[in-house]
Amino acid sequence: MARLDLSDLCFSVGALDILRSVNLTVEEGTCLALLGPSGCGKTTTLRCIAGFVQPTSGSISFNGQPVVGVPAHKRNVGLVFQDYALFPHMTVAENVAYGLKRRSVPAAECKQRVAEALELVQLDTLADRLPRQMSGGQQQRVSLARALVIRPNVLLLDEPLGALDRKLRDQMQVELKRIQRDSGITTIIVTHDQEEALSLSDRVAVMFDGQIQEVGTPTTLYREPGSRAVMEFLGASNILDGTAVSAEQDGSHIKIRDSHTLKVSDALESGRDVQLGIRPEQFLVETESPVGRENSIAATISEVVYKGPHVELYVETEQGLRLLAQRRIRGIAAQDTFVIGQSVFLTVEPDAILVFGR
Amino acid sequence: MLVFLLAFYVIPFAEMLRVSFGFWVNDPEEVKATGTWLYQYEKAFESARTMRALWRTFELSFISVLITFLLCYPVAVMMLWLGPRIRSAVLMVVFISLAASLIVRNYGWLVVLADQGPINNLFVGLGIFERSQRLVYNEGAIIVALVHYCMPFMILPIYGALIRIPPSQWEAPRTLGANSWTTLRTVILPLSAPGIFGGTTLCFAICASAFVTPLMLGSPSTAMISQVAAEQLLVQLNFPLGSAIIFILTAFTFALVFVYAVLVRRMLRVDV
Repeated sequence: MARLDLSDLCFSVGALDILRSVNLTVEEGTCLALLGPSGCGKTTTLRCIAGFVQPTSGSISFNGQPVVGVPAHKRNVGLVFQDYALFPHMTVAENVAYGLKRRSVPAAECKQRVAEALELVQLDTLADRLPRQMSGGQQQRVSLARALVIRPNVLLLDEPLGALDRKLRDQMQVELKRIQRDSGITTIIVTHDQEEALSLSDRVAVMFDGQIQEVGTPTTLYREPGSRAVMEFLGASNILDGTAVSAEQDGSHIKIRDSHTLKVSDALESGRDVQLGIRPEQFLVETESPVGRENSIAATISEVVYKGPHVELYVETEQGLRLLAQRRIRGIAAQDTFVIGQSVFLTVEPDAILVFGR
Repeated sequence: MLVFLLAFYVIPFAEMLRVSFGFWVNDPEEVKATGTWLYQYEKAFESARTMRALWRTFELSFISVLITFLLCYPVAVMMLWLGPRIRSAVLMVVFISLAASLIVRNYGWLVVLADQGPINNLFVGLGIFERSQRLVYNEGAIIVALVHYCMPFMILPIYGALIRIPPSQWEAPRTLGANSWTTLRTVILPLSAPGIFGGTTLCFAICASAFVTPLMLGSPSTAMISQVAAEQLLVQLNFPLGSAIIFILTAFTFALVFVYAVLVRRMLRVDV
């Protein structure tokens, strides 16, 4: 277990900069998700920490001890590969014992630790199976046990749920969280799946183009992202261009597309160009015109997407402004059924609108 | 494919098998009258020369295959790490030796290993030999030539097996504390077992049936089993005995390969 620090980590291949100054700290025992689109450098960062890639410059340290230059097999890093990388010619128990054997752990202790690790991932009854006789979810848990049993400084998970089907993925999410908490090992999860990142980690680092864009708790990042890019990457969003027209005591008015004026709670000097971010679920969708309320937009439904717990409504105003709204479905009442062409009114609270500079 | 196998492989083979159970025109009359259908096999097993040749065949084949494997496995592993262009170049070099006929190649070895040949001159020059040594017409020369001939047949199956191993299998042992050598020994070597099995079996079959190479680079005292069989088939025209010897070689080779396959399966838990 260790605190992990990356500072000014850079990596280039020829003229191509893959990592440009990555700075990141993961506190001891916590779980951080490194989230970003493919090609943003998150896997390279992971491989730098594991020791498979030598950074061009910058430092990596475990508990303040620099590890750049230490070969991969001496770093004591647990890595769960995307394809699990179980050794097909060894049983589950032999796979888990592999790292202990390399450390010359005495046979009796080795046996006990393997049993403990398998118990942690709830596979103690399958110790003598070969990997090919197991399901994907079970293989992943073996891979996790194999990485945890060596008591690594840092546990790295590369797209841990990527290869599992939906149902198993939800199950493993809960399981992974429990295992991480029980083992108390500093963990980094690399993923491009925002749901995975938000649900598994204590903190999320969003990475774009070889740099960490923003770090925060899942709640903060989702509710109050610091930039438009982060907001768009994490979940669905409406981004609107606007200009501040008047400031008031409790906020300001923003004019969008010469047609609508929305009130936001931030104080902005008038004339400033801004971007507004609104989460689809922040819209209140009504069929009757709400009288006397602020921030109400009349629109027509152009598409309805049924999602189970909620329905997604793609709407368009008379002026051609396209918005995405979400409405939770309660009961089986007919009023919750929306049809294309129907007129609706979207209302949003001023403090649910995020303002980004342009 | 099946027709081809039947026409060119099964039928001649069956015919040879039938001949080997019969008698030769020059076999003694009382044998023809009282001998069993296994007479030719009894005769072969009773012949000390044949048995020595058989043993020598397996011995030389085993040594050659072992040396070929030790030389070729590192080559195959290194080919994985090379860029595509250099890799093609290496493959070319490997294959160029196949382009020349076996006789030309063996003649090459005769020249290289000759009494006044480059190897002798080099070793005398370096002071390793006091004076030139006889390097040809012995078992060593046969092994050298067999190894040379076998290399492509060893490298390709092993390379084929190695390239199918996912990169994560090289990396996973490293994260668990294994250095490169341990990774190779505990994971890569077992996972490439199908290729190793293919390469070694192929080379063993090539070596065990070698005829021209021991003929050119060996001496009568280093005769391998094919030469003994050829003497019967081509010189004595004793087809029954010659066929029987060939069948003994085939049977032993099959038995060895079978035992080998079972061992590899058991020990490494890989299908070969």
